Amino acid sequence: MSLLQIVDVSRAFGGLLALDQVSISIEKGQLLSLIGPNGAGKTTLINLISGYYRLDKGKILLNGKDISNQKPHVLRKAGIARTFQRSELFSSMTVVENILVGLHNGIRTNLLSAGIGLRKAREEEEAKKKKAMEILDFIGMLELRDARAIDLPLGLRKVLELGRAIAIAPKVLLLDEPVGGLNETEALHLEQIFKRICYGLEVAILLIEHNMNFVMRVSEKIFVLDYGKKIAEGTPQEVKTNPIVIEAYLGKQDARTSRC
Amino acid sequence: MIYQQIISGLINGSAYASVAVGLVMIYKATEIVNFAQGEFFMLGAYFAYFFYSTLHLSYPVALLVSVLLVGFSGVILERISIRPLINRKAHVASIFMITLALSASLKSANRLISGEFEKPFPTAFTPTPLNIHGTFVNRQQLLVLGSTFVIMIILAMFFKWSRLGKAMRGTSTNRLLASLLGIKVQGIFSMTWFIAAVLGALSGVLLAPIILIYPDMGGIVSKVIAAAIIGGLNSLPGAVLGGIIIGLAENIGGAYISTSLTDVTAFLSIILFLVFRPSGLFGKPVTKRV
Amino acid sequence: MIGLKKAFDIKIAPIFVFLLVVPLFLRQYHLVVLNLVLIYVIVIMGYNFVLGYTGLLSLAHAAFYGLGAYSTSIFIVTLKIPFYISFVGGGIFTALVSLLICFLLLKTDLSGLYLGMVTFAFAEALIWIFLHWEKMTGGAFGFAIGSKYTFQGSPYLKNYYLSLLCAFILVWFGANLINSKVGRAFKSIRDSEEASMAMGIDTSSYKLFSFVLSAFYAGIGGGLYSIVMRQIYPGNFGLHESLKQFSMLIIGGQGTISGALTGAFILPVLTEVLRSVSVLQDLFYCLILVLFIMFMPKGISGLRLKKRSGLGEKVLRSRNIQTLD
Repeated sequence: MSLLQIVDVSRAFGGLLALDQVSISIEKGQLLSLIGPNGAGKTTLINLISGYYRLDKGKILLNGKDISNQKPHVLRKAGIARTFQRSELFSSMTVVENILVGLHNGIRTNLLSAGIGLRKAREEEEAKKKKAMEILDFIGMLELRDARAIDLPLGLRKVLELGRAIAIAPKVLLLDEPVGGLNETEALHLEQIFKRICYGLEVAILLIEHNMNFVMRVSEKIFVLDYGKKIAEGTPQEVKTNPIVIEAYLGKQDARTSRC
Repeated sequence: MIYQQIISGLINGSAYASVAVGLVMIYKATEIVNFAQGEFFMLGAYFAYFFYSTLHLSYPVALLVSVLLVGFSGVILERISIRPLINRKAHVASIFMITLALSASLKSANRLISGEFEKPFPTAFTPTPLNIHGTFVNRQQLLVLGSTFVIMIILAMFFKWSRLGKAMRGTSTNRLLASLLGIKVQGIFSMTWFIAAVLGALSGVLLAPIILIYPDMGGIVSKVIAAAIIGGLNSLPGAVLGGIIIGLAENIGGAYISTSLTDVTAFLSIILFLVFRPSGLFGKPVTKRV
Repeated sequence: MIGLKKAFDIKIAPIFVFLLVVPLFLRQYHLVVLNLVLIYVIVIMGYNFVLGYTGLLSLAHAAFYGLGAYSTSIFIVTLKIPFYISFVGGGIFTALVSLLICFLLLKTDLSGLYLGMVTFAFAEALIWIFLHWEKMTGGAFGFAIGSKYTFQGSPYLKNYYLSLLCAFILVWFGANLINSKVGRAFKSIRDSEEASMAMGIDTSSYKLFSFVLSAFYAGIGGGLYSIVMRQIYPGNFGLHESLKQFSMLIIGGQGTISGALTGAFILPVLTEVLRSVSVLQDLFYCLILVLFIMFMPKGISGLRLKKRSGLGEKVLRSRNIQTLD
């Protein structure tokens, strides 16, 4: 049984079919990429898996259990984590506080105990702070723990987003353009963290990216979407030489140049 | 008897409609709900009082001068307080609160200058009402109705056919694209506020002889917001319809159910519509993209 | 967060001692002013939860304040419920009403401007009820709590200590909540509701909790107000009061505890100082609010915030990254 199974999933907006019977299988600890021209439906798929959009048709199974159409905060408990295309850090808080929000559900203290500062509550808060430090160490941002999120440059923001997503201790990590806008060094840094997550923590990663070098280098398997349909899947080598994929990317290229 | 209520309702309603159109214009262009819209209404009435009653200018002249003055005040307000906030991409909530604060400032400034009490605005026409099929309408009321009607037609034509009108429509639909096309977006903002202020003031000047003028006149903004919500915050014709509905509901409800209901109609409408139909009767629903 | 014992050990201690002792030296009139300051501390602390931390534009706070005042008064005088129960009951009743309102709003998941307008409408509707349900509230003539219902023997002093006790408990409780996962959840909703949901926070429930909690604080503040002033009118709780409370929060600094306390302290004191020029008072406040929103949106405590990011900034600078100030 696969870790995450997306079965014949469809979603339309108005009259436009954004996803058309897409099926994808993800195993534990795999590092997978989702690529395709702009508007192919990649972010829509992530939104469907993480509960931000409802499915029109099909279902999504996590370890065999149907998790279709749950709310995002419920899916988090099930073990789905995601990042956003546009950095959605908590800009008013510090780096460590951002991680602590990710640890939110792990904190069992109820509201009343927190309010009166019960010793148990205080101890749990301390324990969580320590856990947050561990996570920051894992992603290499420990010394920046008190920096304000709003001050961070793009590269560090992306790393922090990743750290926040790991804090949930997910089974599946959905990353929307995690290295978008980063230079080679920064992308390499993130790549190493990905590998540690997949092999070390046995978390499956599905990432959306346009940076083809990165995708080819990093992925075990690639899924290709075009106009809402899955048109190919396979190893980087297979996908790179697949004529349908080339057509999808280049075909669009031709259409664009011919209009000018 | 009910015709009387309907006529009164239509007259009040058309005044609300006018001010509401101004509110919706500002909302469409900048996504701001201008709480100070009621103050334009108030300023129109008070300026007109000053020019007509104190300086004894003729009514049409007083009307023109007041309306233009308030229009320019609107532009000044926009330039000084609103635009800096838009430019630094402040929270819409902050901008809403500043319009609230500005409205309160204008109210208390007016109170200081004009005093606490209501003043009667002398009527421009003969006070004897006309008798149309058993209902009584006086000339001022007809003027309100007629002017609003004319203004709405002029506005509709303006938006549909004039270059400036089309530029304004474009800016409210897609600000970035408009600026890329060479439209001076900042200028459009000022123009929008000018027209909105003029509409508010016009209602104020026209309605002033019918009602007493008092510093809290800006309270009309609650009804105007209700009208805009009923019609749909991004629909101009909706604002007109909303205004008329509120006017009619207030008068008919007030006469046949209870007088205290006139005040609360606006609030109830806001609550009911925002809970059950936030996009109003004609507005376009807003979808969130993640 | 800090336990009860620790709460006394910190810098709070000298201020608290000062507040304990000072009323013995004040005249009755100034004692009432200080009492009002403490009431506003509670009210603004509450307002901070919903507007400052969670980022929900609620304009209903002053109306809840009024609801607390009226319900406490009615419980004491009309329903003859014992004093302390009435007072706490007023706060709870206000919280329950806010819960009811929230259920209506929750299905639509309103936010931003729309929430502002709906809460504005509810506030005005509440004022209308205060004004028109004459049998219960006395209508435009207001509602009075006769002196036989309140403390006997130096009532001003006893009112003050009641307010001080409430302020202390509620500020301590509130500060603890803010410094725990609850505060972080609130702030995360304000900063990015989508990311907050992805972190597993049930944002709808937290928004509701924030709203109801702040209504409770407003209700308690209102209850205290009715006990202290012993005469309340519908006009006390309308738009004017809303603006006043909003000003306190903005000028003091929303989103921080010290900000709420600063704002709650400065404005009533300033009101007293400017009492001689009371005609200009209103205008003065409105203009100050406009200026603050435009130029100092983080309020007075925002000035201090800039200094505090020290350690993190040093590290960033050492990596040659320019910080945002």
